[in-house]
Amino acid sequence: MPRVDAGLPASAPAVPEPARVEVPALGVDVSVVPEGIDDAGALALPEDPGVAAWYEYGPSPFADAGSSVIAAHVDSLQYGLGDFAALAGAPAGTEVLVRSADGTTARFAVVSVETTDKTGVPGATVFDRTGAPRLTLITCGGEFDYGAGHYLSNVIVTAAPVP
Amino acid sequence: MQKKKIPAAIAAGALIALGGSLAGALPASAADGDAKLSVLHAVPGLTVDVYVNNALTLDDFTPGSLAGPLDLPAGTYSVAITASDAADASSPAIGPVDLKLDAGGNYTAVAHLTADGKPTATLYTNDTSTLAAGQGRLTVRHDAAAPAVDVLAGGSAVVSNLSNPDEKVLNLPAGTVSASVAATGTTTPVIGPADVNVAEGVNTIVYAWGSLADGNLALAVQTIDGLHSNPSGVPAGSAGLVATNRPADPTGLVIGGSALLVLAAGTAVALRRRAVAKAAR
Repeated sequence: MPRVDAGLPASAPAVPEPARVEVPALGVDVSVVPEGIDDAGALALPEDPGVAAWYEYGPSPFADAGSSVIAAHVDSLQYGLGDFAALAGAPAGTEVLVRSADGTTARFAVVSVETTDKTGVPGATVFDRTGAPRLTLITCGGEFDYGAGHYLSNVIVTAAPVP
Repeated sequence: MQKKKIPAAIAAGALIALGGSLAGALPASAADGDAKLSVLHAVPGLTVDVYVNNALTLDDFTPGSLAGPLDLPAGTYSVAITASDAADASSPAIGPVDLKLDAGGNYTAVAHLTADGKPTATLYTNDTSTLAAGQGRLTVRHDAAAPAVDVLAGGSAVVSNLSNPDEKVLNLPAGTVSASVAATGTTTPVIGPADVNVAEGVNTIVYAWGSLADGNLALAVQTIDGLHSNPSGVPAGSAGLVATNRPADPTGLVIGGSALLVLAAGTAVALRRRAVAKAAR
């Protein structure tokens, strides 16, 4: 039976957190901030589409397991169109770079791009904290509900680490 | 901490140690529905051996140590705790006590002092219910030779009048809590303040143990992870600039200022709603 010292743990060595996401081929270059949950229980996002949110309770892109989620608004009335609008057209193999504040870079390649009705987003897969390490970029797309002021679909980009 | 199964060989060895009479009925590896049992040694100054169903299970178990979790078939287990030089379980310092473990349950057996300083054992059931996204769970257990206490976070009581061996369970927004323990009704710490990380999706169990009279009160921590749930969605756009159903002249909508104004008029209702919602927060 495994045993541990149950004393108050010293702070564990932290895995780097993402500070920027770049997709050079698509002109995507946004800063990233850690975010949690908004008042409605959804992923909190900065209003500015030029600032993406990393879901801070899930894995980091620098972790060795699980799906790291980085999301940004596709557009906003105040700021206009965001860089993540280009993700919907990302071909498989497109390079994605994630940089940490200390200059470490994690490299990924796009595996798939899906536009999914928001009611059908597979949360257990997108926010999976276990399994193979991967990067999941999310924004909005598809049809827009002009009455409610939101899109009806999420664009979900899955990318795998490049050695 | 990931959800881990104890390797089959170790599990089998430990289960055989639980008693030869059980061995034939035991699965080769942990099965769904097994109970999980951890053991915390919270009696100061006494290295012990722990016997389960008369078989030595934890040898030379030191104060402040946490063992497990061990996957066990549901059932009742007899636990005896002896001095570390005992030859068998016949003269226990604590127990024997019967621990009834239900299928799927998550338990911690704690050897500790009573409020008046006598060694005893308490079986706690750990709350492993799912947490809302963004929340962590803080469980506080009084296992110290001390009167009733308050647990203070940031200087104010979040748990009041907690007596040995009771517990209190709180679900909180995830984050670090500066926690201290004081005699109930007072704010002068007898333990702490100490930073306790109430991590998202985790039950962080904090034990107050030791003896007030002997001046060796301390905190022990156990964590049970994997209790998280996921965000309800990702609302990631509010202007409709790339909508597949946008009105005519899409190019103008994207780059033309006048078209943007038209679009803005179309979403003005929504913006007002958002403003109202924000004002209500």
